[in-house]
Amino acid sequence: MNGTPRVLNRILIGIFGLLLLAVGLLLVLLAAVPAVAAWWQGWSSEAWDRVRTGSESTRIPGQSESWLWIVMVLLLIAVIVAMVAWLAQQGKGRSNILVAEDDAGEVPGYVRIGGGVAEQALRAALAGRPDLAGATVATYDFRGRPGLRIRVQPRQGVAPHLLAAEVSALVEALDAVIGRRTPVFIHIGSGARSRFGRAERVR
Amino acid sequence: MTHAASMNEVPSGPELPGNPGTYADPESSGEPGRQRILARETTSSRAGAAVVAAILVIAVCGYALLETAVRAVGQPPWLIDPQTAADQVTALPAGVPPVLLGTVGAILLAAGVGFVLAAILPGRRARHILADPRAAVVVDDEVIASALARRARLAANVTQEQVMVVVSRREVQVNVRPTSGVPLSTGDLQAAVEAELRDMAPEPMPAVRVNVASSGVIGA
Amino acid sequence: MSVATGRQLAGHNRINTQALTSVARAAAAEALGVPAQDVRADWNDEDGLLALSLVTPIAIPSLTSVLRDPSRVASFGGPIQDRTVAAKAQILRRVTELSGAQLSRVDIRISGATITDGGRVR
Repeated sequence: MNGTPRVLNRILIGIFGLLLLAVGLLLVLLAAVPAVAAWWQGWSSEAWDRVRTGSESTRIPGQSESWLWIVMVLLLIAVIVAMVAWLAQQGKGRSNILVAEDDAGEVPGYVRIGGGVAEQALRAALAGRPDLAGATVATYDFRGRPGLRIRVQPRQGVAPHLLAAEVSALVEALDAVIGRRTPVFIHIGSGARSRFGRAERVR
Repeated sequence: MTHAASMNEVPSGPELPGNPGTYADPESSGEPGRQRILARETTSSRAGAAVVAAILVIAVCGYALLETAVRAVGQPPWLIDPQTAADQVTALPAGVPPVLLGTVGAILLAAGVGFVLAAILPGRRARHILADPRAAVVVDDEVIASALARRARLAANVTQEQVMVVVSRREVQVNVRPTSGVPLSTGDLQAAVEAELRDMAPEPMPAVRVNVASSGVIGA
Repeated sequence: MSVATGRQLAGHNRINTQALTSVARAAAAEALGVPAQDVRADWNDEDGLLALSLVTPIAIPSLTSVLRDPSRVASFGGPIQDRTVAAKAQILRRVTELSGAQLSRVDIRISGATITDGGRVR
């Protein structure tokens, strides 16, 4: 559970895929179909000539090159920066504050409850349970609102719905202790990453 | 594919934890984002493909940037001069062995199709949703299989090695090798697994299929 | 900072920042049930008045004990949010009482939890 931009990912990956597909298709056709080769040689050299005359007419005064190259450089830099920004968005989203309230009560000043409170309380409650092989709790940011992600790894054979009910009860106790209901996501997992296969096997 | 039983009857009624109404209607639990969280967590984020695509684009653009910048400043090119590159590209397929061209093209084509599929297909993860009034709960299919295998083992009175459960999105397959000489009631086993599944109430509710092997295990 | 003494004597007492910090930390520790050494206090000037900023853990009952007995929350003074809001006022009163300094605001950030069950701190 994090802030990875899913829709954006799919759009950009789709565009990238289409580009690869187009280039690949062109290369295959060029290699296999002579008619396509003839067309390509004609069309692309025409287009390139046009670009070249264009660059001839746009020379920087005093330089031997046209400023189109500079434009190209800027464009490439822009794309690279965009890609780096896109990369950085993957797997974001950890946050720290669960509750924030300003100037409540008689005295001015904020009250902020950090995620660490919920994390510690839940971890302590889940530690030492014989039916769990592990538990992690983290605070994250979901569309501007804070949320809790609880990940538990039950031992073999543990009934997940019973476990979910107990963890859910602990969360309700946490609500009472903190004084606010935070959205909670519980993931009952197997430890190893769940694969995308259509079937999962276990004894 | 024939199913041994259909799991279409889910007992309704607010007192049962399996009632789909409690989590299918997020407004009632006061969390409008719950459906979105569940949709997120049951499908792939494609972060892996995104990273690969981004890195490839950065590499290609980085190299192009290098050559273009070098050219714009008027210096000799690093590896390939953009001008010569353009000349060679426009002259394709001349100058490049067709087998090489075709192979590279095929690879790019396949990769492109792969990325497009990654973008379009839902990429469902091997997980199911559990109903819960307070939290959004998602369970790995392995955990469900493990719990059902345990139930099946107890109901069939066999050892762990004799039971294998496969859980997929819409079906649960229970494969049992009975103990030689000890008859096994398929109907009882099916009922037991279905009962456990009903208590669990995963969404989407899979159908249960029990396969009893024709050969048994001796002296288990 | 200088402070006029409560009695009718001429003269001022300067209370240095260190002493003020100790007072603030002790007040917070008392209000929230944690050791004073775990409390961090920072000062800022706000138009001539003092702004106090605290970062501190808070003592809470264990979640399992709350499940068994929901009244444990009330016995700790209520939910964290209410306790912290009340603590702001308590701390401000204490600090003003002991030092005479005028506080404009008290910010509290709860950084963690000390899980206390029946007197034993875990």
